[in-house]
Amino acid sequence: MIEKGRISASQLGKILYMAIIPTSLLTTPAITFKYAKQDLWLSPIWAISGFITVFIVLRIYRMYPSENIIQIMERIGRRIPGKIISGIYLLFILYVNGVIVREYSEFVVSSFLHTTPIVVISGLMVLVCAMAVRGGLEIVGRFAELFLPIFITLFLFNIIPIIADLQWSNLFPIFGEGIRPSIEGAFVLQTWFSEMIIASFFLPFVADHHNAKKTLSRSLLAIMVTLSVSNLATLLLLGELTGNYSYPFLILARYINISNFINHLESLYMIIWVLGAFVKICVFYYVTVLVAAQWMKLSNYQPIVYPLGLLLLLFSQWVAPNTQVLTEAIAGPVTLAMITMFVIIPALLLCIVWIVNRLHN
Amino acid sequence: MNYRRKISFILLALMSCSLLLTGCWDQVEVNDLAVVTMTGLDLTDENQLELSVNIARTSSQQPQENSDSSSGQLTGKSVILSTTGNTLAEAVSKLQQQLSRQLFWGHNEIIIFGEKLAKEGIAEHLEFLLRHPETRERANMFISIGSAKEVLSLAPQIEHYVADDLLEMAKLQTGLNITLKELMQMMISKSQAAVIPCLIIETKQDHQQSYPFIHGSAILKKGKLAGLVDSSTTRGIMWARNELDRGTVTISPENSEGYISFQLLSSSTEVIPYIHGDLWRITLRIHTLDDIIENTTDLDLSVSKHIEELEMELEDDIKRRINKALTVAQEQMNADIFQFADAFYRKYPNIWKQNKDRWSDIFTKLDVVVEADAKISRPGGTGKSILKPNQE
Amino acid sequence: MKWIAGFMIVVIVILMVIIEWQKMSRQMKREKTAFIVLVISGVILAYLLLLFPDVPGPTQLIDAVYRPITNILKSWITER
Repeated sequence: MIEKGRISASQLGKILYMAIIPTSLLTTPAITFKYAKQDLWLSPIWAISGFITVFIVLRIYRMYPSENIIQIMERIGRRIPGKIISGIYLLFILYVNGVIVREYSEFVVSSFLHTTPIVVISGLMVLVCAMAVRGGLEIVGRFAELFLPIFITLFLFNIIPIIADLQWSNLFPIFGEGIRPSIEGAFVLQTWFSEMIIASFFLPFVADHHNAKKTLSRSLLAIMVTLSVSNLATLLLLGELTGNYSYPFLILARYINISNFINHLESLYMIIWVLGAFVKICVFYYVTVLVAAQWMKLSNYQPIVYPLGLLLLLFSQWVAPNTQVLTEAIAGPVTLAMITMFVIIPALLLCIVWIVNRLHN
Repeated sequence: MNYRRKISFILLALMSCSLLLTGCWDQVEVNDLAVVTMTGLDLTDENQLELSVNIARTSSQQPQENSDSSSGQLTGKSVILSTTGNTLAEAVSKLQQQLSRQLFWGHNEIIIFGEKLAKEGIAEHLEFLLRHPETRERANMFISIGSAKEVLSLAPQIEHYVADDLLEMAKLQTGLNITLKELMQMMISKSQAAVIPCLIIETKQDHQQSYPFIHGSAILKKGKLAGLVDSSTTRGIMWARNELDRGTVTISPENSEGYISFQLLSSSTEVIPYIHGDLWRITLRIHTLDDIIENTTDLDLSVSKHIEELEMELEDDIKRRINKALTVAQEQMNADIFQFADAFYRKYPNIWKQNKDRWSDIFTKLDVVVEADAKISRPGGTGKSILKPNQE
Repeated sequence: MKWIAGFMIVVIVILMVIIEWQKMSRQMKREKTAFIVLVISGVILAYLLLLFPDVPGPTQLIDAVYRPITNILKSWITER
């Protein structure tokens, strides 16, 4: 096997949480608000693709405990079609990671470092991530484990001081126009929930595999709760203004004011963002490297870490010419593509595998 | 020993990090910044926007404070600059040309609009402030009677900067305390009406420098100044909007001479909308807790019966004030500054949707019921007035 | 400005090759080929993006593929 390291199930759960939450925390309130209005905090509950993905991943894991989804596709699709499909997946994951790197840098540039070229910010992040990924699975797992408590503490530190400023009346009317707006708002969120598929790439390396089911459902639940809380806090503070800001959650940090003394805390949010984005990029980077190495049947993935990093950096510049195009793409085609690639095709795969197994018996 | 070496190594590593954290291209030293503490926006006679800023003087060569004791003591702490332009962004860029340092808006705590500008509309200028990544959502908003520039150029009264003076005044909540975020929320709310505290300048008397203070409030409709209201009406607005935290209420009881003053300990206002057919009604339910701080009447306040009567009187006073504010808002201005529209929307979203176009008609005829519930908790340090032994 | 970026790409690639090449042992032929292929594709893409920054990217491809579905979705989902 290509990866010699092992992680624990709880580490996997932390990896998943840290791989999904950071970017969603930043942009979801604004995007969801456009469709769901004051029901935006209910939208994360419609995590349909999250449930489906977790179900698929666990089912396939039970049948092939030592392989990930793409390896199984290659196996089912035989030589050439299998290679083509997994090649497409490789490019798609690289692309998704490019989008993540771009989102990270766009935020840093637009909110803090206005004159720094975006390539420099992306490049430095990719470099740091490359070092971590080169260290292997265990390093990535430990980073997730190390940063999660810091992340959550700072997240709470962002929300608790603001409680006094929250206006609960912003919450109403709940289901003012029925249940539909909240479901429509949940559409974009499926992008993040479908990312649960990355569990499939880590499960073969989990040492205590009997805990897998528990840890996956737990982290999905944690993600739903976190998104709901962050959406709720933004709504209660900003009300109708939520949709007008590009990064509403940042405003929360800016609005903190404890007895006129502790204020101007947006740097706190910056810490959350950099920590979270680091782990998120690392996880996707690791998956890219792993898939690429398996695709090319290498015995060691370390040599291709840096070249893939270069490609990743280039993709991050290539995905969109400006922020608007990026946001529009995420709200539309990218979400659809992610649902197809991470939910629908794996679901089909599960059906095929199931039928094949039935026929064999 | 080994442990100590480890610690010092970690500390060294952490410290060396700070050298790397200056931020590539965006490296800014504190002594390259011009910290804006206060912004004033006016309209000139040529219909141009005039931007005035109060910049804190942060350099070490501050004028010695005690060297000239004759003129204002602390005026040397800030610099006032102003430019004009068609838009706020243009004025800001012109301002930057006049400065040796980079403008920094992160500490801009006060934004003042001149009365004349407010009449023309402030919405488009708020756009720049919201889009700018440095401005604070917590900045306090004011409208000044007269020009805003004048307020900026005044000398601070107690604090180091005028901005601090105004900020503390707003925080005390004897007048309205409206932040940029709240103003924006009011302006994009269903009612599109907003209320901002007003600043007036107390003119120079004898030894006292002239200084600004909060007095009354201004009502904006769709971003334009619709009218000014006085202090006592503002109090009514604050009751209705649930913004009153502190303050003194003085009443004169019906059946005795003199006055009784109460200090407000807490107050909360519930807005209860009700729609039945064509009847739109708002019930304002006010709960307040007060302490007695002064009594010049003949009433003996250690008697519980008198306290009950006083509670009634206080309730009547609250109702009177709120009704005054309501009359101004409903009949004179027709501006829903209490955000009743949103209250209706929250409770009756569907009915609201059908009727939102005729809201201003509904609002003028809106039936508002005020229910006040005042509780007097303590008579203060003295029961019977010491100076009036024959109180009943 | 462009020539600086072009130069930087060369520097990055050279650094990458120097660091990684010596770490690979003689038996790792497959890895070496993969490494070279990836580096070359990276360099090509880098110069492509440098010289023609407006070259259509993967987002346009995905957009084109999903255009029909996006339109259907837009008729269902409305901004409020």
